[in-house]
Amino acid sequence: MKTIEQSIELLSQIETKRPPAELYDKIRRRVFYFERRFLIQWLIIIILGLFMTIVIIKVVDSNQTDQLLETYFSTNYNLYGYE
Amino acid sequence: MLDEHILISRVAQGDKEALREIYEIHAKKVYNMIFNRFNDQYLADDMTQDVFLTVYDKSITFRGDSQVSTWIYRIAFNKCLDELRRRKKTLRYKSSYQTLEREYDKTFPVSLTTILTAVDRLKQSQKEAFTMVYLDKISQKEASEILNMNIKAFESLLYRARISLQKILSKTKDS
Repeated sequence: MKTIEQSIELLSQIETKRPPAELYDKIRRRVFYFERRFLIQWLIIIILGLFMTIVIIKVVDSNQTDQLLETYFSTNYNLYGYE
Repeated sequence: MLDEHILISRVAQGDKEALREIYEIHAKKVYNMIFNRFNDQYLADDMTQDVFLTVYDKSITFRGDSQVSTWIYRIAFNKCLDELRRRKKTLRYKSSYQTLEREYDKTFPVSLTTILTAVDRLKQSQKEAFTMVYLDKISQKEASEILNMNIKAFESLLYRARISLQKILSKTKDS
């Protein structure tokens, strides 16, 4: 068992490395981008939600509730490019 | 101990200063844990960043069942396993410390390369246990928690690792 004890003693003498001093700044920057990405994702969801709400309100307010959505859009907007 | 739990709850609320404190406490061990496995400074830099970004992101899910250090080292260990899987490699230590060889060889009858070659030949589980305790310098209790083992089973695994290492080293000496 002497060899193993010597080996372990040798391993314990390997100096531990210090992470580079600027590493935390990199982490802080990545946290900042991470938060910004998170906010942008929410912003996109909110914008899409608002857009869909406006479209639905517009369809309901147009008093053409009996119409199919496609019929509504095709009569109010020139979707198919016909003159 | 309790302070670190408070720090993590502050991190969960988006407190960057708390994240810095957590980083100051654990960065060295996390960095060395990664460096010991890959011997690549740039990879250790990147992966340490990933670990602390995960700590920031997942801090809200930390339930406080374990020590903060164990939770962070487990994140680091899982990232190491992911990287190893990605590279489809097993741990290789043989070449890792050749630069240190000259300094230590003079004082010890067994060379560092010989030991690390022998560690390389251990079974994966024994290698992990041995590395965590003797290279990463993580306590046996924490290492057992990281590997999801009970302490007795871990001690037994470490004992088997030492016996296997002894056998390998004796064979190397004989030949």
